[in-house]
Amino acid sequence: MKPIISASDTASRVVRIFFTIALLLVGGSAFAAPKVHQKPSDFIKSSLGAIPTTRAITLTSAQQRQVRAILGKNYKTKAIRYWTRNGKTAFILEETGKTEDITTGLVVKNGKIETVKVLVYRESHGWEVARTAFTNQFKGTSLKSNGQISKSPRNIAGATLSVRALTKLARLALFLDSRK
Amino acid sequence: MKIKQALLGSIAVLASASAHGVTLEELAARLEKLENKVNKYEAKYGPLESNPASAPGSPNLIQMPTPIPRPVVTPAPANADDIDAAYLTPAIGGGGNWFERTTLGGYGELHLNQGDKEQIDFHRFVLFVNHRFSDRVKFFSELELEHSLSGDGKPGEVELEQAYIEFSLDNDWSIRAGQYLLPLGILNEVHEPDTFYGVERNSVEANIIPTTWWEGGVMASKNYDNGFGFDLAVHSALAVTTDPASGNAFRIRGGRQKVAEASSGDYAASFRARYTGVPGLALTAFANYQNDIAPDNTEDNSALLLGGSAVYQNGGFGLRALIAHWDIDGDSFAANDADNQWGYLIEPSYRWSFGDQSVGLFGRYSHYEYARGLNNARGGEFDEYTVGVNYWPVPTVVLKADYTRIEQAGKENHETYNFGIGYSF
Repeated sequence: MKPIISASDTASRVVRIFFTIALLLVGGSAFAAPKVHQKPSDFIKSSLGAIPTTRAITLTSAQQRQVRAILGKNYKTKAIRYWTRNGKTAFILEETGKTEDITTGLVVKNGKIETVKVLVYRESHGWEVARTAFTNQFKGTSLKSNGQISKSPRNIAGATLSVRALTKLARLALFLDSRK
Repeated sequence: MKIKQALLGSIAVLASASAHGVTLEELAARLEKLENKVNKYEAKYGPLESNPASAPGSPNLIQMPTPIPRPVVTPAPANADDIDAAYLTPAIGGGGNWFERTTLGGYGELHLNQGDKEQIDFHRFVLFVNHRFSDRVKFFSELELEHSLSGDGKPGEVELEQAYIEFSLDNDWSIRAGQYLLPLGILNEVHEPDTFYGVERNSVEANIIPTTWWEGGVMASKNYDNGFGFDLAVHSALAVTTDPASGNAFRIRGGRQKVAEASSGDYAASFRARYTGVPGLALTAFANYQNDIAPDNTEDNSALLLGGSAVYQNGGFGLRALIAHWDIDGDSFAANDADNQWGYLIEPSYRWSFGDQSVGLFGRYSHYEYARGLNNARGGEFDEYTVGVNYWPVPTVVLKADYTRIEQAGKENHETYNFGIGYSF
């Protein structure tokens, strides 16, 4: 096996070449915002058929304790918005994966998860949780008496923290639905 | 009469309390207690008198409407723009003050080895500091203290494992520049102790890849919606010594320069293809090319690492497998039986969960060969068997125990009992 590049090529030169190629590969595109898979309003519209009046659950201190048991911390706001129509309730909830919030839409009907969809993904790792093949695993899950969901999703190697975050949000949505 | 008034008074107090954070369950429990008292009283002294003046039309305590804590309903405009602004504006604007844009994290692990190796060691204490300059530009870092104590003559080191800037681009591209962990193997990038079985990291990745391995350079990553993705990196290189007097000759692991005033004269490149399209399954194929892996001689010592990994989980069952193989040019490597250094492992496991707690059993078989020709390089051909248990009291804290037996051709076997505690946050 012969060296691909002669000894006269220094690492810094290779790095410069690499930068050029990388910029060409991305087509000179501008830096992008976090990936928005679906706008929150579009999620509500597509899940419920229309956008009903926005309501909010204001957590009592006892409910905050139960939320803490699910998330390991308080939810970021005391009042949590939801939308109800035709027996379905939609929540848009956020939880940190490793360092960034994952904005997720969840629909609950008759105490069971009907839909989970990652709306905005901001982490640099674990993007696989936004795939439908992953989120579909939550369909039909309910809350057990111990506060866990009836069926845990399969983990994704390298995306453990994002998987945990979405699992917590599924538990939280089911809990909130039972308290609304 | 007095009792009745007292009861009604109590209910009024309870009703008032409910508006101040008492839950429905607590209220119901108190009412049930009162009901039992009333029943006992009536059984002993006969029915209580009603008091129409103080409780018109509601003499029955049980039927009395209980104030149920209902959610506060806040009618708000059902305007799509308002809803989107509530969730998207902070992200697009890169909102938050300096503290909100900065996150801390870390992990650590304490190990106790008994048997042929007897040692207690706080092996790793790691802190992450990350900062979001904007939604498009972020900083990540990982600072590690190994073996508790660093300094001249001390066993440990303070190491900067990662410090890089990541740029998010359109179309699921990202580029990182700086010092970063190479995308090779299973543990090199993700090695928090609560994410793997066994007290010590596996010997195949440690000796062959060699984990933990970081370099300085740039890396581009691309993800596809169908579950495929790849990483391509150009970075600084290994500098494996061929000097037998060094005690580390021909050993890949000894060639890590750790970007510490490292030579920039040679370059290396890494590539990884990923597939995570099926829930529970993660497959990778990876490669690393070194233009000259041993710059301390005049030979052509270009080298190529090829490998693959599979991680599968279905319910409690888990399976990890990895193979990695170095092909190194040069007469000196061939003469010392070090031109092919390779290894593989297979690790089945099963994990039971009880609420937030879980316990898992695993077994692992590893075979690895490196720097076989020199005794002083601690190399050879090894078969390693490990069985053990992990217990997670919460998902990010783990207690570990395992038994490891290492067999080396022509040498004594080594047996150790290992215990560990680890965490991440």
